[in-house]
Amino acid sequence: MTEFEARLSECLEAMREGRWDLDECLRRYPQHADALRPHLLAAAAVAGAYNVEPRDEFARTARERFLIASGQRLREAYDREPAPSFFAAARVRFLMAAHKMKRSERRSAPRVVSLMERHFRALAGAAAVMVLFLSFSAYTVASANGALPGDWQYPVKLQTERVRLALAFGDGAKRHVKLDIAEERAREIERMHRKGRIIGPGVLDRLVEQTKPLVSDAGASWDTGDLTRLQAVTEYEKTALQEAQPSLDVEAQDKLAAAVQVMLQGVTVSNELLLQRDDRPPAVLTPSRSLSALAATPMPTETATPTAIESGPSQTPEASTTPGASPTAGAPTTGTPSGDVAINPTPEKVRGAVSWIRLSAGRISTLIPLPVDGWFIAGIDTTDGPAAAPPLVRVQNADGTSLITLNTRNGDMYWFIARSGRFDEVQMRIQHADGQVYVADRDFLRAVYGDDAEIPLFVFENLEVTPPTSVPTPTATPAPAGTATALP
Amino acid sequence: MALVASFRNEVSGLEFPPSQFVSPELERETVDRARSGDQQALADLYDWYMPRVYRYAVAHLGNSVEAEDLTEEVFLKVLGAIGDFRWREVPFSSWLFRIAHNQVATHFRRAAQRGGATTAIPEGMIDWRHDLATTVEERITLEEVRRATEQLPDAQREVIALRFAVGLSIADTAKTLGKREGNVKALQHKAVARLQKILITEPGGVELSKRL
Repeated sequence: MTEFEARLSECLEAMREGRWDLDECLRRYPQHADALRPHLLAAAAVAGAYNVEPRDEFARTARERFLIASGQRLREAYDREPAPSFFAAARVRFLMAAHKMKRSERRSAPRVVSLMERHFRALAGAAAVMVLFLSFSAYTVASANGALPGDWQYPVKLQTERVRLALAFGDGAKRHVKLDIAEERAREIERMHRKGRIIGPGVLDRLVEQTKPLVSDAGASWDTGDLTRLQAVTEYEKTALQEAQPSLDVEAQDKLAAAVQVMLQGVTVSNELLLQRDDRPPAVLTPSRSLSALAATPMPTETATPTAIESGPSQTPEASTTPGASPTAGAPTTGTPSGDVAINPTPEKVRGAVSWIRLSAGRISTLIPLPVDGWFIAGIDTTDGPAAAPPLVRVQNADGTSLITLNTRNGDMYWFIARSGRFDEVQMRIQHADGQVYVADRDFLRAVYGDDAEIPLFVFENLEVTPPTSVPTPTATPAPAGTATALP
Repeated sequence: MALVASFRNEVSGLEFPPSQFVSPELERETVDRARSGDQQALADLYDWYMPRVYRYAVAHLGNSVEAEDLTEEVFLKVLGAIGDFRWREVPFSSWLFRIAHNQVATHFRRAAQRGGATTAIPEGMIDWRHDLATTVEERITLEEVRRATEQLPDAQREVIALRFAVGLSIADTAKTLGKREGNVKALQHKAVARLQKILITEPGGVELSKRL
């Protein structure tokens, strides 16, 4: 080591300890002063730049988490007094694992739990909750995250979730954990069904207990990400429940409808809130309400209008078609089986300031606004007589912000709406592969799109679909793209 | 500009981290109590060391968000390992910063696997507590220092972080790194000489001399 290195080190150490200042250092070693000065200043500049304080918020919350992890708030986390045998290292590892889970914000794949080596502690309680820990070297809690209701590790899993919740600070963080837990309940149902296990009523109860408070709590204060998550979680729950129906026992079957209703409410609430957000992505609204249910509660409209009824895979003309209102003379009422497009230019109805004329094409017949009211049919020219019905009839407004498409072969109806800089796809009426028809909720559309929804809704309410007279040729309506959003 | 520290010519204004915040006796007693599961002792150790671990993380990551995460991870590791700490090997601070060092290494290894790099400090992320109006022309920013230290070899950068961000002594730095004191002094000299050159004379440097 050179003498200069020694002097530099000595000065830096003395300055670090506060014994000398720069002048004192230079005074003591005048022969090195010229070289020492820039070195010391550079070192001090670096030290000064590093002399930052953690943010107050971080310092506070991180300390809190540390104290929890160190066991000080263990009682709060477990809601019970830990037994002496539950010694510090064990609970630290348990809480660390819980903490890691919180941070990772896992959503999908259940964590694989490997070998469990040591039985640390039976957490006392009526349920005899067992906590097993993995090897000392691995900071992994032994709660089997893949455990299902009925498994002996399942109480541990629930306990771990409670710890996660206790460790989450702030409303937002707690909400994330609650959404995680709700999603996990649905995932359990899905897995139980796949494994062929019988699903009891308690499983549904837990799902509802976890979801209902979230749905009630959802409101304007939630950020868009959380609402999107609630929407996805409740949609997933609903699907999981419906698919698992064959695995439900008798008691659970009784609770299914009420549970699905909670999920539907979650989808509705999150949809309503989301669609009014400026920062939301474009949405694809998928109907989930079956037409048979709709038929049970006829649509109220200002004028007497026919209601499109089509149900089930086994469609028969007698059962599936409700005749429309008395048609205007000469106008076809139930489409043109010949496949031609027919437009009756005589207004059939007047609703508000809009005159409605009848359009028939392929299997569909409905009312559309007159061109004079700012709407026109795109891509069909009937001036030289009947035109062959295209697979899709497009009816759009003059400024191109609203477009209705009607599938002339199966009656599917889409509405594309450009609004607030976004372009949403609303699936007004969709026939699924099994023949079941699903439709949009009118009240919901009115709540979200206001007056913009009135024209498409009236077209929809007047839509009649003639059942196929022979084996139908399925025609795919353009597949929706973008964010899947369920519409109740 | 994210300004993080004032810097003046007056020696009294040179801001080295505090070197001794608690007596060695008290630290030893506290560590022993923490090892036996005393939660208040653990909390004391956390309060004493957390700012220094945070600064160490900032020195390496230059990003307050990631530095916060890393700081928490270090203390959770400490919780899990403090029962294994033995006085006969190294001082507690050296033991703790070895853990921090390993966490930093893990962080960069994961970042490399992800193909992502540590991001720069977002504006406003640093909690600046000094009087901006009077010192704005006289500071070197953390980002400037981070860019300069990035040009140092790993060993020199580690010495700089432990010495100037954490405030470890030469002796404790040597024990932390498992090196001899003479070796640490040489690394420190090379690093400071290089930083001085970058910060003062090189094109694009921050013209430190004009600020002094």
